[in-house]
Amino acid sequence: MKSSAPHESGNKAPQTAPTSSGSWVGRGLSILITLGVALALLAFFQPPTKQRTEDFALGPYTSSYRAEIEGHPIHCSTLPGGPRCVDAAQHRGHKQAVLWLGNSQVHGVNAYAPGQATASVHLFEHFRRQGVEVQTFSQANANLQEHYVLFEWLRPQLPLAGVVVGLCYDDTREGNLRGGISPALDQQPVREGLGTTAFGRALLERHDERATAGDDAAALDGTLQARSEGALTGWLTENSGLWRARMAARSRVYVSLFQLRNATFNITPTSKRPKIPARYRDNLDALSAFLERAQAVKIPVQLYIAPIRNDLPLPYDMDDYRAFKTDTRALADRFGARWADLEGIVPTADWGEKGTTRLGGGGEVDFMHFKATGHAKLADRLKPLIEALVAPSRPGGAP
Amino acid sequence: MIFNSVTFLLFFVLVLAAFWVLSTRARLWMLLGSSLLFYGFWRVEFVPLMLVSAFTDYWVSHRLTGVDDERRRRRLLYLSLGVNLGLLFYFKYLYFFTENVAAGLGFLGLDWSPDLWEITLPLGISFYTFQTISYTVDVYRRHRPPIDDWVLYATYVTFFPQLIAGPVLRAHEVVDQLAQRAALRWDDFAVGAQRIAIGLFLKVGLADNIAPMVDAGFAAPLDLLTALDIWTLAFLFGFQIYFDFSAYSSIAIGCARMMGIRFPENFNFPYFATSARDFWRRWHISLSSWIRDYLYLPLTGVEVREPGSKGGLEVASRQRRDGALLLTWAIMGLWHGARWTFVLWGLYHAIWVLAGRWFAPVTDRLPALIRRGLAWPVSLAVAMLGWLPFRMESVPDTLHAFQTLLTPSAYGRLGLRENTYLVAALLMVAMVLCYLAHTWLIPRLKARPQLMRPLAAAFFGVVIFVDFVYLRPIQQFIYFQF
Repeated sequence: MKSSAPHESGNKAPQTAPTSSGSWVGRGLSILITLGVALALLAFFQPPTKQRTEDFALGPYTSSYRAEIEGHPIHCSTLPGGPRCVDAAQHRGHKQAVLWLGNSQVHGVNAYAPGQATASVHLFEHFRRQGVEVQTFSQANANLQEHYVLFEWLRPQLPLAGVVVGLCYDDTREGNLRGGISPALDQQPVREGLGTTAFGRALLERHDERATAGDDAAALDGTLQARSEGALTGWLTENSGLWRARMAARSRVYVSLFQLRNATFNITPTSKRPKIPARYRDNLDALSAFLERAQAVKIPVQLYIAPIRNDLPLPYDMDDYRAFKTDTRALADRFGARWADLEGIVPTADWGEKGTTRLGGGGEVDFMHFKATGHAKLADRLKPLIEALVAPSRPGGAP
Repeated sequence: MIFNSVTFLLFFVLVLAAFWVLSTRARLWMLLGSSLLFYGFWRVEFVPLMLVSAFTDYWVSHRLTGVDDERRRRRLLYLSLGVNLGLLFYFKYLYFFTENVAAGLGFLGLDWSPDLWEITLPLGISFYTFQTISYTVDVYRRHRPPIDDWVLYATYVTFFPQLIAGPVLRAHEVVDQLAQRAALRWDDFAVGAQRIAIGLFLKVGLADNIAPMVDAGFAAPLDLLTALDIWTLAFLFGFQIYFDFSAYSSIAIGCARMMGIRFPENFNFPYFATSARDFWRRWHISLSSWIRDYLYLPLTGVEVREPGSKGGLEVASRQRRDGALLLTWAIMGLWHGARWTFVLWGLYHAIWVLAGRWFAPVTDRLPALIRRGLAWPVSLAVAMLGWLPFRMESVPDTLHAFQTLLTPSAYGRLGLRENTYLVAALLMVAMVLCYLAHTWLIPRLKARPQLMRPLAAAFFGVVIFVDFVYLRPIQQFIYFQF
């Protein structure tokens, strides 16, 4: 009788991949072609100019600029560089600090020229005269969960008198904490802070699950493998240009794939970006938790709808976009935060183009990043909002 | 040590160089030493544990040959199984067991909350345990004599390319190759290097880049995922685990091949299977054949006359066969991890196999064209959906996902990032193209080597570029945790 075993295959005879047999000349030629193609690709995917890796996604017309004043930073990004900003603030010794959290709009300057200033510089210069430190933290494609974690991380380190948060609809399409921010969740003060809200606890739970089960790098921590890998890659980075070229090539490959996708599907900056329900809910929950926590620790918060180029139809479903504004305003009202709509404050002339997001040359409309003149206008609109934010905590200020 | 690291590449180059300059005996010592070093790079304290498991089976196998009394022989076999499965139980299932006992007692109104210490699961324990068990059972069944040479035996158990995530090797597949002095052949070297390059490409180029999308998708609240999202995530995780696991096997096979040792294939385009049985002939082949020979057939009461043989099988009643199938698959699921979701995954596959049997009278009557036309897409869909219990966090989550799939109104919208659907679709297309290239194009090109060689060289240029640019030990192989 024939068996009906579930796995009757037994072990297959070894299959052989295409072999490279032939003359030694043929083999040598094959090796040369292989190495030649690999090296040609590596050269092809190097940046054409000395553009920084983090600016690839911004395109060639927009630069990221995080200022330093008198050799000390006033604008940082994530945890690795963050302590420099904290040290600088402590060095300057202002008694009050305002934290401004945002996305690449805050550090991206279209058509940047040396000597130009971002809004963070204008605000810093304006408020330092009043003894208030304005510290800015921004990341490309920042999401509201990251803002919440950064707030908890910076709160014990800065004498916060207020927090300003730029709200972009695009940010609600982003999810998860980037590697430069998630390590904050291992720090006790941050854990204690996040532990006071339901969403904060959910963030911690997700993080801990990843650290124990899914975060493979964590499983290697402290092992001989981790130490040897660190030493070897460190040595290669220091001594091999070829090895260093990997990072730029990696970014360029991603950008090229992104451009290929856009060209194939005719995706342009004006294409509608639908809401991603799960991420939207996570981000709004994060904002809610953040405002709840700020209210509990008596730190006033100013939310603002970030400027967007509005001489063209917005690349959103307008019902979703309006709901986003309504939802964020409702949260602000619920937790006693301030809310302002700065959507239309930057005129068309102050916006620029960005490098094409498709294959080939040319520029495309940039809805997110404006020129230095736009930064000045944003700073002008934020100044009174920040004044009002910090006024109650000043001696003699309104309660 | 993990394959997708500079450390491993350097280690392997040194081992390979030593392998080809040393004498046969010195090679074995060197391979044993380097295999222990390979393992110790993760946690050196677990090396003795592996050696205890190996030594137990070495000792038992030698005792077995000197004993004719069947009861004593069986007792020796139970000793080996007890030590191996006991270690596996302690490290892998103790938490699961106590949790479930505590939950069961709680259900009966009894409060028991044991305070267990932290137990770290030793890497690869499920693999080397199965390997040593198969060896002892083969000796017990008198399918092979015990290995006299301790170094050869220990090298077989710990041989580094397959130590952590297979293929699960039987002694007859590799011991003789380890004992003999293989000749240095260009083809072995070239094919081995190609397999390593392809494996790294699958791992660092594909699996690791899909992983964030899969993680983000499965982390989303289930009530916000639509049916199309769940289909997409099932496919995407199916691709990720296939690339990840077949990458490991490919690198293992390539490393061994560069030393003139041939491992059996572990994957053969599993997503082109046309039935459950066909799928398991193509997916993790070494494990499925192990499970057949050492678990399923004994449960049916069938005697396996020689390892890996297809014949000589006497099958018991249908009820016993089906019962054995369900039990085998539940255990197979549990082997993958101490969670009920894995048991569910195993039973899902058992039901798929049984459904194939039940519906055979109906499907066999269909016209061949329709039968063949339906077999692949239906099998693909069933295989991919099978990954849901494998990846979901809990049984209720899994059932919720399946419920969504069965709800027509849940097909109306999309809830994931656009790239997720795009990548899943592209990978499906790419996989079909690879299959066509493998089955149709390459055999034809092989007839024209003047064209084949430069094309293959250029192809491997692209593969090596991706390997070089993306090589980072950011993700361990998924099967490490099993």
